[in-house]
Amino acid sequence: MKIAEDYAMLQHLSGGRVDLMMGRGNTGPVYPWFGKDIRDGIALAVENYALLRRLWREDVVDWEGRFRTPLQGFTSTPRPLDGVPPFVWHASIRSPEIAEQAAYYGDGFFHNNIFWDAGHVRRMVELYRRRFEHYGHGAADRAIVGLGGQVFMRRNSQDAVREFRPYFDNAPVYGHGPSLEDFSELTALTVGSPQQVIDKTLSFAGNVGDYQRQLFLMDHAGLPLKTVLEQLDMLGEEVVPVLRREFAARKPAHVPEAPTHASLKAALEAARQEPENEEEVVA
Amino acid sequence: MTTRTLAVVSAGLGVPSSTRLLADRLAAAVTAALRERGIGTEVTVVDLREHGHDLVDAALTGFPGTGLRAAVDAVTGADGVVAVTPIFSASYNGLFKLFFDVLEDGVLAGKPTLVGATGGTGRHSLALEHAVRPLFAYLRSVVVPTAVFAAPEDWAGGATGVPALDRRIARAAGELADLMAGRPAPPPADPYGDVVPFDRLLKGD
Repeated sequence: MKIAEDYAMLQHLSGGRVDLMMGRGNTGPVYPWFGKDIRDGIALAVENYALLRRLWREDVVDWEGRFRTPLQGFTSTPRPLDGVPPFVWHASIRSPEIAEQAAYYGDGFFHNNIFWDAGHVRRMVELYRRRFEHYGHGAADRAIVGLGGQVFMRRNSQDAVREFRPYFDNAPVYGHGPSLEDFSELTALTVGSPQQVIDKTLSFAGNVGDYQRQLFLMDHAGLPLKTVLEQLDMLGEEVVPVLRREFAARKPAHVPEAPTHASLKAALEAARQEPENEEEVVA
Repeated sequence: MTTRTLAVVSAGLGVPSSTRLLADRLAAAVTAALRERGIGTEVTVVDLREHGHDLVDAALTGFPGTGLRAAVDAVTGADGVVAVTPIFSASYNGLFKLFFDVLEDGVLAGKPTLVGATGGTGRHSLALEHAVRPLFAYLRSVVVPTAVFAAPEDWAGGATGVPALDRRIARAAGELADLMAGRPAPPPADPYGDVVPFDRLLKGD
């Protein structure tokens, strides 16, 4: 309910420049902190999102479920901008049920891509694409996929490795574990020159198919703020323009861009003129 | 000829290792027992010593690297498992436990398993029953009744009143061969293939 209202409000403030990405937390106590049981994690994600969709799409909601007080005649305000809810991404590292959830609704699926190996990421995205097609949202290669990645760059790759290694070796999650070299080989991590970052990132499309969003983790492993800002400059100036061009060049015409408020609004208006196509508003 | 796959997990730390020696003798005995039943055996040995660093990495990152993945797949896909550990501080050693800790839930359920151990004296022998067997009970493996413990004296004549080591190995191997002969492993579950349909998730299944 709070998400429905806050993100609708954010749509109005930002002119619709809002996507919502949902994850289920990264430490066990987030469930008890909210009075929940982690063993209900998937069931909570399923039920809460089903309610969120209705709060955005129906002006007056009657509702009853397992995990919260029933609602009678509830209206979530403000209503979504132009009657178009934000585009939603379901993010999961390793729960097939969340890929299934994203596919069922024709929403986006995001894999963080930084903590597990590329083969696992591919299997999760394949599952989502296959089920997206199964639920009639379009061909598997038209499903909306986002990936993460993490990079550290210097002009010379040797400088990048030398400077980043102590941060890597002591990083949360994987620090004191695999070597920087092993982890770079298995996962999306790229430590090297801007060109190496470009090459590795482009290879993700070979792993999961043409995809719509690439997020980069830049403020990681305890890097100082000044370094992070330098990294952002390099990413924006030298990496992202090339990636945009190269990804666009390899993407077939039938693979859609990620939805925007404008495209979702146009799709909704088109669907209203042809009521039998209501289910295809996302595509 | 019908064949069965046998995965042999050894947590011995030394080279050479008496734990590995026991594991190899158990594997040979299981192979012989299956041959008596008209069945061939493909043996894969997983010497955990070679995967020590990978096991720590997997415990810290949550996923196995390439070499360890092959070892995990060999064990979870086998028709039968021989698992042998040295007894340290009245229990399996840390390397042994770490391997079973990084497996996904349920992957050894129903797996015919023979457990063995080595130790510095025969007084550690019941560690197989109070530590190793409960671990596999939790994993829902089917552990054969005879567990094989080798004390230093077993590599010679053994203790008075105890059947010789080769006799105990043969009995345990026969028990495992009976289970493996009767029941090849089912194909491993594929969590990405066998997804629960969303209408069932919506109903709270």
